[in-house]
Amino acid sequence: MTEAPSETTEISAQAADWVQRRHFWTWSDADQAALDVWLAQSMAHRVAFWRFNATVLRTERVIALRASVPEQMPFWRRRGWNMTLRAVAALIVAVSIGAVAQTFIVKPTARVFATTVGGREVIRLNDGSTIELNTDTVLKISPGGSARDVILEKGEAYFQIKHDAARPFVVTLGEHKVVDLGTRFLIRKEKDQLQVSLLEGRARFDAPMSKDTPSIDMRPGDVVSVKNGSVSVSRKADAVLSSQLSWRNGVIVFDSTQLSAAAAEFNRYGGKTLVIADGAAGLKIEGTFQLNNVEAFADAVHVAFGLRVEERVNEIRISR
Amino acid sequence: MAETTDTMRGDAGRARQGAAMNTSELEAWFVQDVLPLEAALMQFLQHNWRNRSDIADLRQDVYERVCQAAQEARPDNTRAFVFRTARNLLIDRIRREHVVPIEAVEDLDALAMAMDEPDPERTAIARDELRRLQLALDRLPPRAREAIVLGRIEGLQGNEIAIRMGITEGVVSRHLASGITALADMLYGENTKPRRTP
Repeated sequence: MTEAPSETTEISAQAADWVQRRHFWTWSDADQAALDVWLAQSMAHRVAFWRFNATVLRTERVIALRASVPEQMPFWRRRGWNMTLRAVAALIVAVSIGAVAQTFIVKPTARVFATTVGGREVIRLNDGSTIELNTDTVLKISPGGSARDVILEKGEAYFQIKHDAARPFVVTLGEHKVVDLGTRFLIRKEKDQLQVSLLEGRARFDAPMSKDTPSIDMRPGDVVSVKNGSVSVSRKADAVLSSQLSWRNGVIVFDSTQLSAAAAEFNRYGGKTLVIADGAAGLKIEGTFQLNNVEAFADAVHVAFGLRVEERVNEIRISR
Repeated sequence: MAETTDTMRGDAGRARQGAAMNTSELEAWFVQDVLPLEAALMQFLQHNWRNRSDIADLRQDVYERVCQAAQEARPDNTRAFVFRTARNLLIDRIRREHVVPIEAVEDLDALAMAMDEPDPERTAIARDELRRLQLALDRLPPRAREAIVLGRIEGLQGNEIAIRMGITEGVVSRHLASGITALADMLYGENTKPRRTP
């Protein structure tokens, strides 16, 4: 280059340097403070930094390949590794559940948080984010690393995540992932289905990389559901979303909910098992109930529908 | 609703059209809504500006202007707004530098309109993300690629990369920075036509 570099070129070089320092070297509070000062100096600085930062974050998805390639030889040294991409992708499917998760998260020192049936727990992270676990839930938090990573193994958790542009918060759900961009969201993971509800902010829902499914940019009110491997998105009203969070206050809210579904909901929290006979399963109920008081619920349906309630040692049976 | 005591809500993406944005909202908007337009923007700039060595500067100027304005009021149509800004920037330059006859401005109008269409590329990007990343990594200069792969895929820290590659930490930094710069151009600036698998 014979010409003197332009101011833009200069800023671009500085931004690239900040981003590589931020992501590839140990990073202290003092470093962050210095970066903040530089970013605050001009929009040109911020824009250049954001662009490179987003670039590095995109490379995260390549990392998952590591899981499916033999350890001894780094994949980029293998002949034609990019030609074998499809085979590798297929392998990821074969290895299936947990392959991606293990790459990102499972390290010997991962911290595990679990609630019992009927239990509830609030986890406060150092960065000010909180995660609330509902009944019968297992969540793992990876120790350190450049990203904030957790795995929701099962159950239900409500996330209030403090935004950090340089360190997105990633929740791994089997072969799916939720990447948050400063949000409040609720995830419920059961054996055969998965539901992610976004209450505020933005998040990205990533299907397994091996599948030809685009990522979903979630907006507030969006609910992504995965059932039998197929993904759908719907929109829910604020009231519906907040009633999904009622467990945080120790209650369950039903809004025109079938008794069979209501019983399934109660049964997540332990206590006596609620059994609804076929004849009564389709009746719909509305109201707010204490989630640890199945008996009160049974009384209510008895009064409302004139149903028969039989209380046994471990179960309450409701029938016509 | 027991959400009133919530003090740590994330702010990204909450800004409505026309509303002012704070820094994290602005960044989220820039990364999600503006950067995906980069390939089309580069095409537009290259088509309308003869001096190739100015293009990267022009692109950054567009981004700076767009973010400066969006900070005050989030535009309702990001795509139209970005191209209108690019067009105005070129007109300013043309007037200032007297390099292109003024008639060119009308072409710019037409082109900006033509480009104001939904971008099928955007959904394709997600589908082909992995392949794009791999191809981009593959095209990096070998030393830059090795440094980035060791860092991002092997999970090594900068000082460990230096040892592994047998080079100084300063050189590692330079490889990383140049690699990131090239990756950004490839991942955002190039209009890679995704190949559909049959």
